[in-house]
Amino acid sequence: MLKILIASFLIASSVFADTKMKKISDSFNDKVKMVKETDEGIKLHFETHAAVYKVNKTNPKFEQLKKLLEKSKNENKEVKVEVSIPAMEITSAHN
Amino acid sequence: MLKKIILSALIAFITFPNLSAQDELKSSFEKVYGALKQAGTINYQENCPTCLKVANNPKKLSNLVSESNHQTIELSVVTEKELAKYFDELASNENIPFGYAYDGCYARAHKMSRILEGKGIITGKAFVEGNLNVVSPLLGKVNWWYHVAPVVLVKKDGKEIPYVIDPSLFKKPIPFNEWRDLMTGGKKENLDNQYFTNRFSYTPNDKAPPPKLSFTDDDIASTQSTMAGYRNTLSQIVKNHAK
Repeated sequence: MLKILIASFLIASSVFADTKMKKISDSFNDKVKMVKETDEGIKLHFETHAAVYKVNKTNPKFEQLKKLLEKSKNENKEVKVEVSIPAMEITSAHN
Repeated sequence: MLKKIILSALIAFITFPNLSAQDELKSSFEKVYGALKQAGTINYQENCPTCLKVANNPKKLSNLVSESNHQTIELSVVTEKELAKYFDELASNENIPFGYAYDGCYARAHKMSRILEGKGIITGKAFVEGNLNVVSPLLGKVNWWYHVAPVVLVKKDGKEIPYVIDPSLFKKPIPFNEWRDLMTGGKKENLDNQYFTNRFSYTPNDKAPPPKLSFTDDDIASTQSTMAGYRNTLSQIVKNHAK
């Protein structure tokens, strides 16, 4: 019984801590250097930013984001993106 | 310039036939020479707080040939001990967000190169491109398509070896090959390109000739804003870790 109580307490405190955690995001302007299709969605390289960024197919705006990011690459124009950290997943993009 | 003025005045003095005119010229020359001597040299950086002043005692320079981008880069040659001292100074600089390994290497490298130039150390930039994976002590797994850090030459056993300064990955300066192999896992298939540039390059776009010849205002502004942004993000991550 005691074990169950301790376990419940630990799970509850962990969930509480998760909800208290602030979501971290990054936003920047850069030119898209490469777009590569993967099983999960697309991977991206930017000209200045060194990390590998991605957009997952599970994102409801996947097609829209992909189109906009590919356009930035083809036209060699900067795009403004918002990225969730640490997933390095692009959540929105604007010309 | 001063030498030319003095020489012209002397020639005129010798060749002038009239003695009183010679005296007059001599007196004028003395006045001009005195004024020039007092004026000294003009310091064009005097009212420029952002201009970095190069130290008067630059270290010995040597050339590093970068084959893949056809560049020869002039770099300072230092001892391991000297480099370790500079590394520790940089690593303890709280303005440079070394802990934010996810991105921003270009800004950190640029800032380090500028600081070292102020100390008389001429660095270059070491670039590696490919499928690069590292484990950051704070952030865990990180994946980059390229990475950059400052490079100098270290004299060791009679050879000049390129050493990389990268406090985001190491606790001391490291030979270029070890630095590259950490990121590629020593696998050729993970390495697309490796090259060196002078210190003024900012991103892989700057690898091709002609090289940049100075730290550009745009790159300095980008360095500052990138580091400010990542310092802020890093402090949020640390706060989240503490919860």
